[in-house]
Amino acid sequence: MNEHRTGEALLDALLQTTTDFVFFKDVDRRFVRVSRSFEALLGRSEAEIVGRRDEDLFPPEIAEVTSAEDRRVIETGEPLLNRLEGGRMVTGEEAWVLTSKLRWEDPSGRVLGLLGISKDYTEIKRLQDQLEHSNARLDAIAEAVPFPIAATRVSDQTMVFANSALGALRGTTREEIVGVPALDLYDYPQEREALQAELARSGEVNGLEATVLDPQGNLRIHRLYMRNATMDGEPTVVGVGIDVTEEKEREQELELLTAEKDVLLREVNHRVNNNLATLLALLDNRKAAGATAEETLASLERAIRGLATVHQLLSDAEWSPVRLTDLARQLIPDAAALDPDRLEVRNRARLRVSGASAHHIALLLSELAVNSAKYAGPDLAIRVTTERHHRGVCIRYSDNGRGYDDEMLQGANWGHGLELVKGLVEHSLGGSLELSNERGATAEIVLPAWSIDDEMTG
Amino acid sequence: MKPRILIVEDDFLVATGLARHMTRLGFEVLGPFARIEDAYLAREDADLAILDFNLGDHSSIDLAHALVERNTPILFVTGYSKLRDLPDALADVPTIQKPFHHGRLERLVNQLLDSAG
Repeated sequence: MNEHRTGEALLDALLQTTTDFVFFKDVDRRFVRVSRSFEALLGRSEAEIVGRRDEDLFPPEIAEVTSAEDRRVIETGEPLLNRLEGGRMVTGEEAWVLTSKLRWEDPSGRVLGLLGISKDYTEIKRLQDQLEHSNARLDAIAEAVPFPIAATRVSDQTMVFANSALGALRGTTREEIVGVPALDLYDYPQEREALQAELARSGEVNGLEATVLDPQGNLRIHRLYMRNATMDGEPTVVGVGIDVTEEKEREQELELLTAEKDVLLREVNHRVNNNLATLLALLDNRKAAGATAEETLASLERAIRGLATVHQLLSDAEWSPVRLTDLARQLIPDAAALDPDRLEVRNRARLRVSGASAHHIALLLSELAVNSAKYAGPDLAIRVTTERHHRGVCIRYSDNGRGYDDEMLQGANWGHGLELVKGLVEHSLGGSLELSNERGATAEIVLPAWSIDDEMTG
Repeated sequence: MKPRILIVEDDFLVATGLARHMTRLGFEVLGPFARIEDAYLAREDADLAILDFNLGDHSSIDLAHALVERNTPILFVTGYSKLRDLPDALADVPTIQKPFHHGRLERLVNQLLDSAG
């Protein structure tokens, strides 16, 4: 037989050439033979290694583990297969190995020690660690983003990735979502179809809105953004949803507010135009009646003050109806040059007026007050009462003067002021006017309910 | 025969002013009416109608339709700067914004009467 083919020579050749770390230990765990690669790992020659144990050659935290394994394999005969072990070597280098240990016996079964073969796993371990770090980084990003993120495999429309924000939105965990059909995420069929159509059309989604019922039962509107990607070698759609519920609510409030302001502005504009038309018509009326400049100016001033008072009251009340009491107290003392204490207002009907009616009533109260001032004595007192009437509401205006003369009570010789009052009552307010001397000069005005309930119209 | 102008306006001073002006121009005035119901009864006698768009809480749209159907020329007066949501049939109705100048109203009334033949 060729001397190179003896067992000893073959073993030598193997130990010289193998890149795996091969070693034999005796029953006392002392090294008997080692491969050249093992020498390189420890940075020592075989002569320096043989006769020593792991604890003489490896850092204690490694030696503690390997020694225990050695004892178990030697004692029980059970092999140790492909176990990952390692760490920083005494050379300072980090080394990881995949180790198998088997009991070494002679042909008669006598235990001689153990045979160990370790594959260098350092590079694979480094790549594995790198991959883990990279996954952890991706996860950290996905978890830190406060919006739901998802990935859907195109081939079967199944979710292959979700972050916790998406889990929380659906009242579950991210793990539970993976594997679920992607369309299950959308509560509304219409939005689901729109999304599918958009993806089919352009392959991406840019701001489409979807409504999701959150675990608390609240509707949350999400703006969706989706792009094509490849994951695990398969076409995948990656998407993010941004919660715009609050933004939408603010938008709606703003729209509503703008619409309200628009209506208000339009109505105020309308009111102002009507007031100006009334004033011009009054001027025209005075001219046609041949009134003197002084009379005309006085009429105009009263009308302007009356309309201005109503405008102020309505604007203070933000264009909701104002109390007749307030209107009378604001207008009558000035128009009649009366101490406010000598005006009594009893608004039993709790009459409130708004819009055009308020303007008509302001004009007629001013005219009545001026008449009182003209005909009553220095102790003038005025009373205005309202009460419910079977035809609507009755406003009774009276002073403590000498009353109307007989002609006037017959409906003649009324003068501009009373004619204006009559016109406003009968034409504009659809009511009736009756004069009497029941308590000084008394004007009883009955107004139908519709004329005083109206809002800003005319 | 004098053309008859139907006037519907609920502001007493504006209504009587309109009536006085139309009378002065030689027209016969129907009204002035403050309420649609009253004006409705006179609609068939009118050669032209001047309608305040808003009367209390009503608009004069229904009366306007009835007049337009009879080919009676009409015009709206309103305090609004622009009338919104007018039905198609009334979209071409001329509108005069309050406060208006009588001269302008007079020209428009004459134009409408002329084109109505």
